[in-house]
Amino acid sequence: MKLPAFARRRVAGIPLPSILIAAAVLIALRSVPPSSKKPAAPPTAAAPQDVSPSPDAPTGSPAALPVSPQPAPSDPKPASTEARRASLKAAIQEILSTLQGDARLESLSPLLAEWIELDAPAAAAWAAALPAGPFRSDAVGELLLHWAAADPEKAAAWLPGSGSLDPESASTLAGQWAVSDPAKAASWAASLSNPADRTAARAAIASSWAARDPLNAAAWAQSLDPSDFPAAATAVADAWARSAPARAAAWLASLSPDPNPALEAAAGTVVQHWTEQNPGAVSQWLNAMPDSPQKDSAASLFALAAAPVAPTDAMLWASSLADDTLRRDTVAGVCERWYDAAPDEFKAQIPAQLDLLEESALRHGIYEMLYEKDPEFRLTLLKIADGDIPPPGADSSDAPDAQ
Amino acid sequence: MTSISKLLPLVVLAGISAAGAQTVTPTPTPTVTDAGPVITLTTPASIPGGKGIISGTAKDAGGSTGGTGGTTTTAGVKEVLYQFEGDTKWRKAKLALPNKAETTFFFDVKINGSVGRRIFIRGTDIQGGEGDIVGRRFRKGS
Repeated sequence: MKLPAFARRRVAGIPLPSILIAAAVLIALRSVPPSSKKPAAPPTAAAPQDVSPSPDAPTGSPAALPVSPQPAPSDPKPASTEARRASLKAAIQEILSTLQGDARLESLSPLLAEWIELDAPAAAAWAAALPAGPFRSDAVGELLLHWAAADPEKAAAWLPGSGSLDPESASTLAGQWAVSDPAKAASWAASLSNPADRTAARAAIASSWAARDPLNAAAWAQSLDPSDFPAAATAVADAWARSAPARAAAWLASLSPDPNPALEAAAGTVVQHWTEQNPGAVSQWLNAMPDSPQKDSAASLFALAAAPVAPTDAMLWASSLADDTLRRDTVAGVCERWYDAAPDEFKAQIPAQLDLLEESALRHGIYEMLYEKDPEFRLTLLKIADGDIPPPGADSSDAPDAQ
Repeated sequence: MTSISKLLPLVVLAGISAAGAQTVTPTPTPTVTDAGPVITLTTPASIPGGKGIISGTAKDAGGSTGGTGGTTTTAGVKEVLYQFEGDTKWRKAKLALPNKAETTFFFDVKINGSVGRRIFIRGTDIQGGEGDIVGRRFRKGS
């Protein structure tokens, strides 16, 4: 179905209909006066059990909106709370029945934040009761982001027994918690019995912590057991390299004098951030390294990261790599990034670059890349390479005689 | 008393039970099992600024051929592929140790939008085995 033009408009990357629905819902919620005497919705009975099942989990049972134990009669704001709860239920039901995918999640996010503030256990129970699938993971993730920011210890106490604990939710909670208290988050992560959950939580803590205090985060990562160390070290390197890439590179080099494949992603993230900030410094750093698989790997990463901004230099680095497979993949990767960043410039300059590539395997890698991206230009490039047509900008007198 | 049947591999029991009735032992059809690489994502769900590297590990246990002459086939991760939710194209992640039983993989991403994007990842091994798809939503962090 083709959506009308206004429905396809996006503001700050968010679909316009999502923004309109979310705005209407928030306005409705806030229009409930604190002293409203509106009759309270019956507990759970009016829960949206008729919520449209998520297409992510078509066979699951629709989840009800539970409520926590009702406030005592002496509570000064029971009616207000109930009115807000009822508005939330209606708003969530509306979103679930009308929106899909990221638009649905974008609209739910502010409502979940509101619900967490109102009744966190009930919101958590609703999310956990959703049918298993990507949408439940999304909803639990959104909920944990809000809950862990407001009350991480309660969120952490709830998650393991909720049936929603997995590496994704553990990462979300631990990362958010570590923003305010990395030591407590680390203690919680250490209590997780599933290794995958623990590794994910520790990497998230390392990331949040290193963004604020890289030295202590790095020391903590180094204290972890070998199974969790590479992920935590990669997260530290990533966060540290965003502000001080040379220091992050020095730290990584101090960890392992020999090439360590488990830390290659860490090296990759440092090279990527460093290249964005100062490609000349990275180039100097690479030139000072002795020939080794480690240097080859770092140079490959550098070439890929530099491709959008300095593509011809990146091609030189890529085509000089020692390992055959790495060289071929990197040349193709550089060309793909160059094409994505500046397709016209790529088309104008790649014929001259092809002449510099002596290996046919490297040229084939480029043709393969173009086969998917731009098959028409691929044919043109093949004709240029065969001398059937002149390259762009060539003097027409150099063109083959067409007779 | 422990029954002898509990101590024997099933293949021997099959031979015993068939011995009196059959004179020709049927040749078992070799079956190949290959689960493909297991993907573990290690990048935190929140990516500062929405721009960074997503990484993880891919482990391949190899496969095995069934039957009495069953053998274990060589383990090795051939490639790790990733796809953004809603896209149709699978893209290749970079492998630290291609064709080895365990390798780190990574790829760089830009995540926009208030709720980020879900990314699916899967691996294939050198025997053609395909592993399960792992999905995770990555959000733009501060």
